[in-house]
Amino acid sequence: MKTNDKKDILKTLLSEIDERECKRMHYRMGLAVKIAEALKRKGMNQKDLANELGKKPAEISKWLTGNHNFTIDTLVDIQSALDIKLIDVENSRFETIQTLPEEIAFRPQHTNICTVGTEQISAYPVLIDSNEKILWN
Amino acid sequence: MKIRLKEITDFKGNKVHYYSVYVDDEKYTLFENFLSDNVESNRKQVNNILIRLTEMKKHYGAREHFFKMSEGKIGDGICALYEKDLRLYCIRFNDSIVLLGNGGIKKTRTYQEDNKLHAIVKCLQKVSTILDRHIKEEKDLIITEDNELISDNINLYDDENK
Repeated sequence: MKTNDKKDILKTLLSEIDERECKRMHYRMGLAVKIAEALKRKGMNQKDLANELGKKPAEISKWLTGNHNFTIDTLVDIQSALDIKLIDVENSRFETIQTLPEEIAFRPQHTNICTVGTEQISAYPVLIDSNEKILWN
Repeated sequence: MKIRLKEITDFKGNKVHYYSVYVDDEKYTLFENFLSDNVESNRKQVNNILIRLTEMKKHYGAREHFFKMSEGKIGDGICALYEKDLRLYCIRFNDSIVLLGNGGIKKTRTYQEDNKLHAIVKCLQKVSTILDRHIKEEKDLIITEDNELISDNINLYDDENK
């Protein structure tokens, strides 16, 4: 490696890092921080959590390095053991979204009535987000 | 042994100050040697370590649980960031100050069984002793309130060479 290359090696490597990898690591480390903070809050140590989950203490230590790719099952178990929220699905609202037919020619604003071919139909699902904000109507 | 501190400013963020050292009359810091020695054979692992260092500096701080602690002797602050078999040995002062050393692939059960890694850790232990003495004596090296190590770019010596 040339002298200048070796001096600039860090700058070069950092400029070539994949953004997706950064995002993944961000979440892994963030989960580790949440778990470590919850342990502290509950006055537990890594060994206590290991016992609770039937794991070896070394495994908990590995999780907390922030480099572990957790399975959903493990996260759910940790949530229960530490009484924290690591995955949030309960508050999401799931709406069935019907694919709109291509023939829609006209749909009056502010109503759910639209014209398909020559026939008027009503009550298409309204697409809303979890804050009830209308995304499509 | 003499060392000279260098702050590493290429990582984005402001939660951690990273440093490395030039040992004796070496042209490169320990961390520059780590990168150049390992990047070709272990690019992905090196990249992951760099991402983790960036995340700490940007978001989380150098929390103790991110590191494998007590790799040296008690109290010397030597710890390791690891990525599969790759080790980067560091001296962690607190959540905001970390000195990045050298490292390599650990093929044996303990680093002491590997001549190269053992030499790297022993070197860092000497660095730690020098820094510790200068900080305690508040001589030529201070930790500021903003968690910066200031050494005025001078050489710091061990007891035998002071």
